[in-house]
Amino acid sequence: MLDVEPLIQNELARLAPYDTDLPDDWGALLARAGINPAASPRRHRIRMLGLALAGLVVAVVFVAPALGLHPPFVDFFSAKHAPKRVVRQFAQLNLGGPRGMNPQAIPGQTRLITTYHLRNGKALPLWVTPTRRGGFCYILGGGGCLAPGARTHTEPGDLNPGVLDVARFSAWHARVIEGTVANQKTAKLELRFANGQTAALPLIWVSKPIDRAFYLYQLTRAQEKSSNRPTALVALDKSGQVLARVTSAFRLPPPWFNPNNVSNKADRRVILRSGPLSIAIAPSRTGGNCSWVRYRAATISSGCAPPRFLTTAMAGGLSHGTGFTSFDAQLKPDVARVVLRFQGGATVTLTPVDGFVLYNIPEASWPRGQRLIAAAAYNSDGEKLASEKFDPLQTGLYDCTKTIPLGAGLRTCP
Amino acid sequence: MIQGRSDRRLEEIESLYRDRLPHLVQVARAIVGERERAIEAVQQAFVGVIRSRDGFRGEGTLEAWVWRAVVNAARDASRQPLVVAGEEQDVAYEAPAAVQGLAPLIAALPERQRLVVFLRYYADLDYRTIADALGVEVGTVSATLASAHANLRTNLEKVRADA
Repeated sequence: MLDVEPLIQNELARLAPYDTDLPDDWGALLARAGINPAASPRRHRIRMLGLALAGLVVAVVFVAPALGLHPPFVDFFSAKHAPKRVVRQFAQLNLGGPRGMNPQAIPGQTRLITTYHLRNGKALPLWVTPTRRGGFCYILGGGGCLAPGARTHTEPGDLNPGVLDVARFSAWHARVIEGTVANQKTAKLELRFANGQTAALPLIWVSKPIDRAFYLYQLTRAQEKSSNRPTALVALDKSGQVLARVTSAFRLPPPWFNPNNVSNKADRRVILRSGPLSIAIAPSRTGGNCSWVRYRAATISSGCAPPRFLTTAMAGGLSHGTGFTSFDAQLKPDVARVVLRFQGGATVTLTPVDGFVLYNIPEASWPRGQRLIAAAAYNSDGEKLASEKFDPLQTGLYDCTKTIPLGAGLRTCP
Repeated sequence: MIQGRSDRRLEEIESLYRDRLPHLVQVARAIVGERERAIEAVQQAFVGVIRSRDGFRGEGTLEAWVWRAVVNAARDASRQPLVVAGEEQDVAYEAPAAVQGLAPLIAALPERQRLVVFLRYYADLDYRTIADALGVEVGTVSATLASAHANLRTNLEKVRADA
């Protein structure tokens, strides 16, 4: 019998995306309820820094001083194999991405490295498998894949970006920082906070072919506040010398990022409609407009990038949902028109309205052979300012009547 | 004494609000279909919960009581027309970014089944809390969830057979 439970869990996120950008307005709620927020009895319990991750279970642990590794050290091939449902998740990792971006995970090699226990009692197993490219994929709440030597770009404030991988996720009302360390000389991994405090993060080293250490840290409520937030993750050797540092992952998003911070929804007006889609805008207090792209009553995306922050003359792309595939973009002021080019030679010219374009791609352009292949932005002199190409063979971008099997239980539109 | 108990309750409600807000909004959004309305529904529910906190008798958990308030507020909100920039439109639940697979099938479930699916797998509530939140028996939750599974399984197999 078909087991629908794992499928349900995978699909629910599509129906109602997890929203980490909600307003902290407890005071306003109290006021609405007729209670003076200043008289609220809440006692702020500032917890001590440090891990409260209880019951760290390591599958196979070897103390391996001869190797110069810091315990706990997990021998990958001695660790417990993953059950079928997890193997299938890794198989799906290979299939879900754009063409040419298959991480080539080896699902059958997936192992359980450890299980982290969050303060709320939730257990987070760390599943890891190597890839055919020499990297690895992992699932830990979220997860992903890393190719060997994939990260070379250095953001300001960072040092040796290939050494430290940082990811953040929220799940089961817990905020978690997790990732990997590549340099085996790392004797200490330190999370630094805006208030000057630090926390040492335990590492679990995993043998070849993974050859990395994993870490996980659950933020306390106090550490989620701006004044106490984490600001850097630092890898140190045994003499205290900094081997690698990441600060870019902890920077706060700019204030104009969130429409709720810088615009009034009461000022919102619809400027573009195309089929069931629309774009509404409202003035942003930081310049330009905030925008909301909507499919009927549902907001698909929103943002508030002032035009001066656009790094390209045309920032946008394709969106797809049940019943539609669309192109939308925010444009720099000097863009006079956007030309969409389709397979077979058809073109569509869009004229910007308040710096935006929107086009609901008609069903006639959904089949292969008719699809959108490029968008180009031109100024009033006909000079091309920006362009973007689209892969017409990318699966899952257009609705269809007959899906094709991708493998691992997944099907998609061709 | 009463004030002290009420204040403790308020702390517990605040704790729930801070811990569970994303999940509450998610489930409300599954009912009303629109983020801003979901947030407003959750806030409206909490205003009611705060005001009537002294009336909570401990029959079931406080979390279940809060969930019940949120579900009711979201249901009320879903019946009201949406007003955006001067225009009015009827709002039905839609799956905005469902691509393929189960998402459209979950969206098409009867409301009670869909709600139980969300509360179970998204909000991660146990059967007892779901039952308290919806004002039904635990057995009803179990049966509703089983019906949802059966519906999804049947429809998914049908989709696959048709493909």
